[in-house]
Amino acid sequence: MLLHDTRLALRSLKRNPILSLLMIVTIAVGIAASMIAMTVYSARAGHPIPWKEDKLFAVTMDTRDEGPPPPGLPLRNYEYPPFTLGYQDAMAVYRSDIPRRSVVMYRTGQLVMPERANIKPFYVPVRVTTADFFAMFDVPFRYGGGWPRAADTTAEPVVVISKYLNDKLFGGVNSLGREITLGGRQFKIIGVLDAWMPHPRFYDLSGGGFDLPEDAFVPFEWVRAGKMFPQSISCVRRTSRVVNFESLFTEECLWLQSWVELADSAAHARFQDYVDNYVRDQKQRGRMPRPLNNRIVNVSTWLDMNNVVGDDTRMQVIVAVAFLVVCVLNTVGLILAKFLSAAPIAGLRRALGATRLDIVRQHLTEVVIMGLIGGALGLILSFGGLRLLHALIFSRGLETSDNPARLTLAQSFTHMDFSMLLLAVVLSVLTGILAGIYPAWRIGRLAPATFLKTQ
Amino acid sequence: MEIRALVSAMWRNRTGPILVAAQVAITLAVVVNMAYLIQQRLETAAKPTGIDINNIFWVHLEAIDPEYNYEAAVRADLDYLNALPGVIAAATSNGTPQAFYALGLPFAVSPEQLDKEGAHVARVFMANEHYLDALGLELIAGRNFESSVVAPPAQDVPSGIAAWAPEVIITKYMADKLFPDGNAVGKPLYVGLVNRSSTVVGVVKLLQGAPMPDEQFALSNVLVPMIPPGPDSFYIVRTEPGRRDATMARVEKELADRVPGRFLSRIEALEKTAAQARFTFRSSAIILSVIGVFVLAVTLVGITGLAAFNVTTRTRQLGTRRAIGARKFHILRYFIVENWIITSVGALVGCALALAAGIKLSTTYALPRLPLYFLVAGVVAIWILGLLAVVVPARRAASISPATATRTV
Amino acid sequence: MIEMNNISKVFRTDVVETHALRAFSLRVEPGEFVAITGHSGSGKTTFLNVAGLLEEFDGGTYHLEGQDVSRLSDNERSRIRNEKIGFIFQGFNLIPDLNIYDNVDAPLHYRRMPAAERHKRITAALERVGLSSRMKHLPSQLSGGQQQRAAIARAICGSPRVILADEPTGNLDTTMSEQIMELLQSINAGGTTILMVTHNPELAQRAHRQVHIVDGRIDQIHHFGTVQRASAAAGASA
Repeated sequence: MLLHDTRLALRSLKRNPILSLLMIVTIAVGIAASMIAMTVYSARAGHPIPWKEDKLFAVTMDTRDEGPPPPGLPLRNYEYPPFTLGYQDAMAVYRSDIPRRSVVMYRTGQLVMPERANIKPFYVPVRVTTADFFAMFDVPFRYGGGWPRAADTTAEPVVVISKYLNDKLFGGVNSLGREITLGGRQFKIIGVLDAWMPHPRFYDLSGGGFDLPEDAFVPFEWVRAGKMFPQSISCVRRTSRVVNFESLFTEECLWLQSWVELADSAAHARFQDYVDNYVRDQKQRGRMPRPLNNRIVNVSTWLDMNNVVGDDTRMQVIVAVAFLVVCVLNTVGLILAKFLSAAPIAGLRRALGATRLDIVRQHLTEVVIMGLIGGALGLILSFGGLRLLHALIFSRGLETSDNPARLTLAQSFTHMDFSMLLLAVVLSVLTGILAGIYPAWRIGRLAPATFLKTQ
Repeated sequence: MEIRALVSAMWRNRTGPILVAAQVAITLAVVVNMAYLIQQRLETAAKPTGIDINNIFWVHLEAIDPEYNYEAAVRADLDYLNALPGVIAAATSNGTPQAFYALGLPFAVSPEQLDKEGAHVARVFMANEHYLDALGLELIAGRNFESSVVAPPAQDVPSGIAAWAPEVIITKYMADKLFPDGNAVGKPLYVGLVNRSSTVVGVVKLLQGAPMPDEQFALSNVLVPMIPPGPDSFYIVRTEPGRRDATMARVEKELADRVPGRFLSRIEALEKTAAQARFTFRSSAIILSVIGVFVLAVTLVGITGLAAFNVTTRTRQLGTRRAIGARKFHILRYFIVENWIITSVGALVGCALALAAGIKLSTTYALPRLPLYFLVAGVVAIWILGLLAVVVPARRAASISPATATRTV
Repeated sequence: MIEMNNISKVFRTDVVETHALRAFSLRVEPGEFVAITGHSGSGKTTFLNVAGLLEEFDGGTYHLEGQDVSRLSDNERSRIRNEKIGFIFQGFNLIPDLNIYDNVDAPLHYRRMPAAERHKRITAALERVGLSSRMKHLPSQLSGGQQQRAAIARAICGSPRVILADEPTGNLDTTMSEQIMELLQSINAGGTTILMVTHNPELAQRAHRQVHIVDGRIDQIHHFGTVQRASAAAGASA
C-alpha cells in the first residue's frame, strides 16, 4: 500500500516539475534556516555537565545596596543577586562543612616565561582556586592530579596545566615534576589536563561563557602570595573604598565564584539555611541591606540566570521558525492548488472505488515525500550555511591563536550533531504533514461525482 | 470590476487568499522588526566616535625583568614616540577606547547625590597631557591637563585608583547630565569608591568609549591624569594621515628593544579594534537581513503561486470575460485589485503582529518602541512586492484568448 | 449587418496546417436568425469566433454593421463585443464565483454604465428569462436550463445588435432545449439578429436560414422563412 502510494506520489510530483521543485525548495530553505538557527542555539543551550545537575550548585548572595540600579549600568534581571561574591562571604561559604566539596576561585592572567628561548613570553589565563575544583567539575587528567586541600592555605608552588600549555611548552610529554615560571614565580607541575572544554564554560560565565578553560590552575592562597589580581572586579556598594590591593579582601568588592557540591536535596536545604543564617547575621552587622535573596542554584538555572543562550540567538530561532511557518503556509497554498487542479483524477479514483481515506493517504504521502526531499535538500543547505557562518563569523580571530582547542570551540557553534540530524528529519516530516493535511483532507472530501461531469 | 462582487467571489475560494494573507502578515511582522533591529545595529555601529580612528594605533609591552624600571621606561618611550617623524602625539593609557575594556567608576556631583540619587557610572581612561591629541579629541571648554598634574604610576590598579588625581576632563554628554545648568568647568566631581572630589578642568565634545547602543554607557567617559600602574606599558599613537602603517612597522621593530627586560606583545591599528568591537552588531545584522530577504522571497513566491493557480483554474471564465467585452486592462486590473486586497488584509493583521512583536523586541533589547514609519514603510513595501509578484501571472491572464470561451473542454 | 467576404483562417502547428475557413463569404441581414450547421471540425466554431471578434482571421474582409473590423485594436474589438454582440455558449460559461445578478452585471460593468441603469437592465433581463427569483443564487445552485437562461439574460441585457449562440442547447435535454429555443426566437422577434451554431437539423429548421459548412466552406444554404419584421433598408434575402 505504502509502495503504491509512493509510486503515485512520485508520478504526481513529476507531473508538475516546476511547481514540485518550487515547493521542495521552499521547504528546503525553511528547514535550512531553522536548522541553522537551532544548531547555533543548541550549541549555546547545551548542558555542560548533566550528570551533576542535582549535585552542583552556584552560590550567590545579594550584597548590593538598596534601591534601583545606578544609571549607566544596563542590567537585565536586576532581581538576581550578583554572580560573584566578595572575599569575606566566599570564605564563609567555604567554611561550611555541609557541602561535600566546595570551591572558591577566580580568573586572572599571568605571564609565562618559557625556558626554551625560541618561544616568546606569553600571557595565559590562570584560575586561582581551592583544591576541590578538579573533582567537583570532573576535570579529566592526562598526567598526575590536583593538590590536597592543605595546599590552598599555604600557597604551595604547585600548578596544574592544560593540555595546550603542556603541548606548547613540553611538546606533549609527561611534564610532571618540571617547573614553569608563572607571574615571575616558579611552580612545580603536579598535573596535566586532558582535552577539556565545558560548553558553555559554566563555572565562570564572565565574558559570555563561551571561552576555553584556563591554561593553568594554582592553589587559592596565591591570590595574596602572588598578588594575582583578578580579571574583573565589581565593587557594589556606595560605601566601598578601594585604596590598595588589600582592599580586595576588606571592601565590598565582588570577584570570586563560589560553587558547592551537595549530596542531596536535604543537604541543599540545610546549606540554604546556612547561607541565609549567615546573611541574617551579616545584616545585624549592618551589611547586606536588601531582603534575603541568596540563590543556591543548579547548573541549568545558573546558565539561565546568566542568559548564556543570548537574546540574538533566541531571536534568530524565533525568526527562523517564523520563516518556516511562512514556508509551510506557502506550501499549503501551492499544494492545495496542485491537488485541486488534479481533482478530476482523484474523482475518477473515487469513482473506481477508492475510499476517502485512500485518497487522503495517497495525497498526504505525496506531501510527506516532498517534505523529506525538501528536508534532505534543506540539510545540505544548512551544512553549507553553517560552513559559511563558521567562515564569516565564528572563525574570526582564529588565525592569531596557536591553540587548536580554539578551532574546536569555534566549530562547536556550527556543528550539527546526531540529535540535530534527527531533528531535521522530524522537522521535514512534520512540515510535510502540516503542509499536506488540509489539502489532502479537502481533496478527500470532494464528492466523486463533482469532477466526473464536464464542468 | 465592482469590489463587492470581487470580494464575494474571493470569499467563496478563501483558503488560498487566507494562506497568502497569513504569509504576508507574518512576513510584515518579521521584516519590519528585523529592519528596525538591523537599522538600530547599523546605526550604533556607524555612530560618530569623536576619535580620529583611521590614524591611530596602539601598542602593548610586557615587562619580564623584575628589575625593569617602568616609570623611566614610560618617559623614555613617550619621548621616543612623540619624536618619531609623522607622529602627531603619543600618550600612555590604561586601555583604548572602542574596545570593550572597561574600568568603570561611580561619579556624582556630591557624596549626597551619590547616596540619594545613585551614581552616574562612567568609564575611566588614564591620560596624560598628550592624550587629547593622541586620540584627536576636540576640547570644547576648559583646558587640557598640564604635564605637572599627571600622577606617577602606582603599584597596582587599586592603589592607582586610590591615588586619584585632582583634575578630570569629562565628555560633553556627562557634563550635560551632571551639570544641567551648564558650564561644568571648575566644578567639583565626586568619585565614588575613591571617596574624593576632583575638579573638572575640561570638556571634550565627544568620546565614544565603546560602540554600545546605550548612549549613557557609550558616552559617559572620564579622563584622569595619571600614568597607569605598570609594569606593562600601553601607548596610543596618532600619526599624520597616511603614515600610520609605516610608523606602526617602525615602532614594532624598534620600541621594545630600546629598554631591556620587556617585549612587545601586541600592536594594532585602532581601526581594526573598532571594527572588531562592531563585529557582533554587524554579523547579527547580516544574519537577520539574510533571513529577512528569504522571508520576502518566499512570500513573493506564495503570492505569485496563488495568482498563477487562479489564472489556470479561471482560464475559461477569463476567456468568457474577454468574450463579453472585458479589455486586457480589465483582466489585469482584476488580478491586481484582488491581490491588493489580499496583501492589504495580510498587512493589516501584520501591523498588529508587528506592533506586538515590537513591544517584546524593545523590552528585550532596551530599544525605543518600534517607530510607526517603519510600519508604514513595511506596508508600502509589501504592496509593491505584491504588485511585482502578481504582474507576471496577471499578464498571462490578460493574454488569454477570448476564443477560449467557445472551447468545449 | 454582417458581411464576410473571402474570409480565411489557418491554424498552424509545427507539422500541420489546418484551413478552418476557406474563402468564406456570408451576408447576414439585420433581424435575421441564421443557423450554422456542420459536422464537428467543419469550421463552424471558428466561424463563430471570427464573427464574434473572438479570433482574428488571416484573409478577406469582414464588415460588422458597415464597420471594417479586420484592423481593429484589441481594445476596440473588446468594446464592440461588449456593445454590439451577445454571446451564448454551449457550456453556459457563467462565472462560478458570482451570483446570477453579478453574472448578468459583468458585461455592463465593462461599459461603465451608471449603477441605476444597470440595475434596471439586469432586473428586466432576468425577468425576461424568468429568473427574477434566482438572482442571488450561484450558478452551481441552478439547473442547466436555468443556467443557460441566465447566460441569455447576460447576452441580452446589453441590448446587442447580434447574438452569437454556440450550441446553446447542446448540454440540455429536449424540454429545456425547447424553452431556450422559444426564448431565442422571441428575442429574434424583437429585432435582434441571431447566429446560432448547432448540429441539430431540427433546431436549424426553426431559423430563417440554415448555412451548412463543410471543410471551412459554405456547402448549402436552406431558406425556411423570412424576417418577420423586415426593415425597409434590409431587403430580405430571397
